[in-house]
Amino acid sequence: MMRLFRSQTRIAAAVLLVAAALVPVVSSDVYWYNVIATGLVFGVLAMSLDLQWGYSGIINLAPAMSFGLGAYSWGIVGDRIEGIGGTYVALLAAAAVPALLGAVVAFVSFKAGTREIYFALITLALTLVLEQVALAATGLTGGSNGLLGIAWPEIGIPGAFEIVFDTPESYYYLVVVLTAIAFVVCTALVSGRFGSILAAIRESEHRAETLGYSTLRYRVAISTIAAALAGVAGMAYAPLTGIVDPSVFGVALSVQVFVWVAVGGAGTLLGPLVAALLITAGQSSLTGSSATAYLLVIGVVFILIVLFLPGGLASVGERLRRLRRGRLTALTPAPPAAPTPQEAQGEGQP
Amino acid sequence: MNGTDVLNIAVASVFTVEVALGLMIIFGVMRVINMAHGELFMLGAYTMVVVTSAGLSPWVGIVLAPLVVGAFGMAVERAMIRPLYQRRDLSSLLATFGLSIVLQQAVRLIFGPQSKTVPTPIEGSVSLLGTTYPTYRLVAATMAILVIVAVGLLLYRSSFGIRVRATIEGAEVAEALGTNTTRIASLAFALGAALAGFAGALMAPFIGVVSTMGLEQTVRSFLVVITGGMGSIAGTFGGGVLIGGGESALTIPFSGTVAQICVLGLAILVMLVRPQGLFSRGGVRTA
Repeated sequence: MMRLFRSQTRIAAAVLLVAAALVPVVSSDVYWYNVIATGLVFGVLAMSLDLQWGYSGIINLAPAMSFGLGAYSWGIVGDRIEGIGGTYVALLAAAAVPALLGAVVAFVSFKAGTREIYFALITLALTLVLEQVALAATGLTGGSNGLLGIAWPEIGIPGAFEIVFDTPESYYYLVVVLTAIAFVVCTALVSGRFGSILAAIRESEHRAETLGYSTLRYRVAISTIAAALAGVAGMAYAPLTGIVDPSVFGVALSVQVFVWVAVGGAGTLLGPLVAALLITAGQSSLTGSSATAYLLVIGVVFILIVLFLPGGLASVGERLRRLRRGRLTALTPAPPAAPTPQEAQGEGQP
Repeated sequence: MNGTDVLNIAVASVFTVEVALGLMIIFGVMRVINMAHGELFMLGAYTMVVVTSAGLSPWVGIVLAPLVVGAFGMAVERAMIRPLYQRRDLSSLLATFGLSIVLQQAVRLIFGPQSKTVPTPIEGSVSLLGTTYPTYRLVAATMAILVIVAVGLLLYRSSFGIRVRATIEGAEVAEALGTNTTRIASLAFALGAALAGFAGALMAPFIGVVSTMGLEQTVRSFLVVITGGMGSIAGTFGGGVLIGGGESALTIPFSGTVAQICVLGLAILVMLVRPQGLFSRGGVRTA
């Protein structure tokens, strides 16, 4: 049954991406290329959060942080190094810089054990700092005006063959392919052994520890991978908007990513991808005060999902129910419905 | 460092402690990570905007703000936080994260994206420490100190305070011994919110009032709680002085961004070296 469901999900994802790839056949409207490509890039960002929140029970309050670092990587490198070399250097930076930061933050936060709240808080604080850095380092980032005239990427082998994605249509195809790769990689990650161990840690940290798994190592690993993925999504996003400014680090974007994942269903990958695509398409016509109202509505929707649709959040609760670790009681798993008073008190307390 | 710098650092410390104390009470009693805490501060500042633009004295706003924001906090607790207690996970963190964006956008829709100014209740300045300093800032900081002392007395010298601290120490035991922890939680949330709102109202005349002003307050308050120690009221004072005063002091030789990075680095260092917080006694508290 589970296998069937999974393969159905994969078929649905394949249908979605093939349909997306066929859009240029039926329409040559550049506007829609842009909207759908943006939706797909946001979908990759949503999958990155889903890897953490849905599959690993880790709350990263600032998914926009890695995304913004990726966008600035391309904005800064693409402007300075031309051609294929620039694309490769930027791609490396877009993945490696957020990955390194994600790894360090995860290591620091989870080292002392039950510190998932710290991870949430430190990511939020860092994104605020990065926004300030982006504003202050005007020589590199253009300050509050941001970087304009974002270059188109090129791939290939220097001298042998080169593809420049310098039209909205060609770039659109690149984004569809990128989204497909991201989906396949994420699916492979969460359905393999690695994914099972992450789920085990999410469900019961001390049980996983007892079985000999280093929960720290796996949490750092998934945080690193998710950050790299979000960074690449950010890089892909930059040419679509043509501008990279400090708002890519904004809390407004981070909240939206949470809404995509919550609406689509945490722990499903395809759900957040579809939700990001549809919500972005619906939002694209809004500007000015209606954009402010949109964020208001998004926030209300998010609160309502948290309050009344806990299904998507159940996985987070399971793991937090077992905050205490390394105790002898860990050897006798308590029934999940009846946490001990100590555990009940420990809830929410890192 | 001249007299003005010293006074600025002192004022920053006082207000950081006041805002973080509100956060700490809410966290301590309910284990709720209130991501909308800075927005409660923001609501206090906007109460001042409404009152003064209606032609009333700023003092009216300073009195009204804690009442309005406290009542709002109580309503939030009833509607959003209480249903999530049984969930025992990070749901309340996510819900209040959503609330923070809702409040920001609602205020932005009503008052516009521009920064507002609020008239100062007391004009003029006084000579102190070899410098002239705005009188109102000293008065505001003094009022904040009085409120902090009052809250301290409330927590340590009243039966309500005993019940609050008992709930912080262990909700189930407090409940078993006859404390209505549901009511304590409601009042504590109102108190925490009122502290944030009061700080926002007091500071409104000398800072820019804008819908996004809360986030910085939220993050700083959490750095205070991490540095001082989660669940420690005394730690909040030490952490507040260290983070608020330290950030303010660092902006003298460096930029505000560098100062922010430094205090964040300090909090991370504390997390690594002394996870229970600098001012907490004993080992890591698991409950």
